[in-house]
Amino acid sequence: MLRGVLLLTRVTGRDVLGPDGRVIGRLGDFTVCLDQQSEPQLVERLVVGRRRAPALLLPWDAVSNYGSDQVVLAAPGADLADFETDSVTDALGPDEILLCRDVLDTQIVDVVGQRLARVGDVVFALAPQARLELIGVEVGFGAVLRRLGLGRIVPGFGNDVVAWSDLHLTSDRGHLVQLGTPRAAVHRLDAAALAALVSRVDTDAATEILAAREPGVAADAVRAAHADVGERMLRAMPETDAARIVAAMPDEHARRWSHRLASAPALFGRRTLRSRVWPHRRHLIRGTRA
Amino acid sequence: MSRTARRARFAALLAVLGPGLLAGLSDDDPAGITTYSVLGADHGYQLLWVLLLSTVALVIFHGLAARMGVVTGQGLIGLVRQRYGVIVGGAVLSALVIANIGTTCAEFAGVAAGFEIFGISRYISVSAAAVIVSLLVLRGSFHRVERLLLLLSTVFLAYIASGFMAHPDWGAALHGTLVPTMPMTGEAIAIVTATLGTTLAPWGLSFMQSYAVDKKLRIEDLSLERVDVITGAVLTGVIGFFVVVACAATLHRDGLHIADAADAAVALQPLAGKSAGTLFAVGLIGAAFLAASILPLSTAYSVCEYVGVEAAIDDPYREARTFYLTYGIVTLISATIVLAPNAPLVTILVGTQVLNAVLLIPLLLAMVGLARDRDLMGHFATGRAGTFVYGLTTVVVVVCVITLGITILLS
Repeated sequence: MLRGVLLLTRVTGRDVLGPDGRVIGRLGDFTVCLDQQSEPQLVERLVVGRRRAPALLLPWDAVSNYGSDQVVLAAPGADLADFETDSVTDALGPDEILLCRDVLDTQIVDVVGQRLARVGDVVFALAPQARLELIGVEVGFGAVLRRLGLGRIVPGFGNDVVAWSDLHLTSDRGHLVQLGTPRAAVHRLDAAALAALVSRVDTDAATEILAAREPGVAADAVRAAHADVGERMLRAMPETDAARIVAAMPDEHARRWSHRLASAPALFGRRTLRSRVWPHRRHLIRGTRA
Repeated sequence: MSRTARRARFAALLAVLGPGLLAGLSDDDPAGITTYSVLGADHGYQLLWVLLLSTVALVIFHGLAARMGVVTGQGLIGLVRQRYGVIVGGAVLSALVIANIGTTCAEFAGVAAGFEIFGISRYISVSAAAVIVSLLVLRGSFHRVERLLLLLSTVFLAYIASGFMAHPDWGAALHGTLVPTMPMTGEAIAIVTATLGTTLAPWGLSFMQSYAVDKKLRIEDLSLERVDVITGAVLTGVIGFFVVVACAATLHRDGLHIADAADAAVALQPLAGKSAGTLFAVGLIGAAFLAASILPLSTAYSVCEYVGVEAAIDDPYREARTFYLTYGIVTLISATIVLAPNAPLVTILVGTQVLNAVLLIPLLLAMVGLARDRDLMGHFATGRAGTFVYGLTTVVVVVCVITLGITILLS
């Protein structure tokens, strides 16, 4: 059991009360802005679900008391009309993601452990001024058993937490927001770690990741990855982008890659489908949710 | 289209083929062959139209499973967990694992029955089959496993040959296929609902989606994948057609009744020639073998998706222990149950059929819900027309499953 921390699946569902003690709704989700400049990653807003009324998207400032089984707001429900929203997705900022929707139970790439895992829970710590600080995500079967209420019956599964700074989200919004966030792990990986990451996401996501890095780093990552993965990514890119990455390679490698890309792909490119890559849902939010 | 372009298109199709063919053909497992055999032996050509309906249902839902796999990059159980949470996902997974173990028992029982026709003891045939299917996945790369399974699928040609050798009345067969008539007896209703209700199997749907993911199919492959799904479903229907035809032309003509597919193989020998019966038995063994390979695979994919660990046939054991251990455990338990001297095999098989039928209902509803979810499916989310088609098919299957359940309970 993780001690001294809060877990997303335990804090959501709590009653949200007005200052008069009347129940306004239930805590449905949290948002975080990935582009926060300050070091700790703090929860930005709360989503409060209400019966027969639009959801509320409240800034953390609206919370006057964050208790163990309830959240008390500073203003009564009637004063919160400005925070009502019919579509939480549309109301999010460009660098903002929802933790339940975009993180919990989705797949992530642990860029340090170099593995693909599914998020079992999201881990917070209480920060000064009763803010919630995002620590990381719990992966592995232990979290699943705990959520099923079987944690004590089936012991032996330890806690496996991936630090928030060491993961890349594969959900559509998470991936795109992280690409646009200089602080995200994807922007500080060396060539080897970048190669491991692009080998675990789909072709579109991989090309976007390479495009977000300098050509020299991208070129090193292509060389460090399995040749099939490198070829798949370079072929999927616009020719000019691929040419720029190849040009950034040492001469001998550049010649070899140019030759490889100039020849017809084996099995019309299909052979590269079998490299260890998980497809990604890139097409989802082009122009709608990004 | 130029010759080169046609060649390129054909090569691309060959590369994509696999998920639909394997998921479809493995539906023609011993339980399926038994259903078709009873359908033909008891009702002749009259109920062949049911196969058309089941083929349509297969195309619709296997197509949806493939699309969801390609679009989301996740298997069905992984998506159920992501969309509906760990409790619903865990309940579905638990039921699926139990049902899959029971169904794998049925496949090994099919292997045993098929080889016993040739005088080979089940202790030898089932043990060998368990070892072979385990080695196939443990030692093989994705390419090799897929090729071997597709090669194994060609054994279904035996049913087509067997059908021709029975010298059926093709006119009556065509009439029975295209003109639906229905004798309103309890037996007929039971066999029609069994054929329709068991065409879509929970393990087949989860396998279809997971395998499309493991094959790393992409959005660009979807149109070719549709060809794969339709080919697989049509071949499944065609094989069912020939099984029905073979039994209708011989067993039904002579008023013989059978209890299972092995009975049909034995009964066919004096009526349609020894080779027809032998081919039927060979088909039964091949079908059982194919399904016995795919069921543990489907289970292993589902467990890994739920637990959240990487799982692919290409992964070595040290990187995908959960995957390979699940595969091995399902195979071992199933083979052991079939070989256990006093195991209540009939109870297990009937219970499995019921569990599969019960599980199918929430799974189909979950699939329709997932297909409509724009957060998951984006531009590929199902609209109103698609929802109507999927909903209608679900209703038909659910009615069949409930009718079948009532029939089983009453009998």
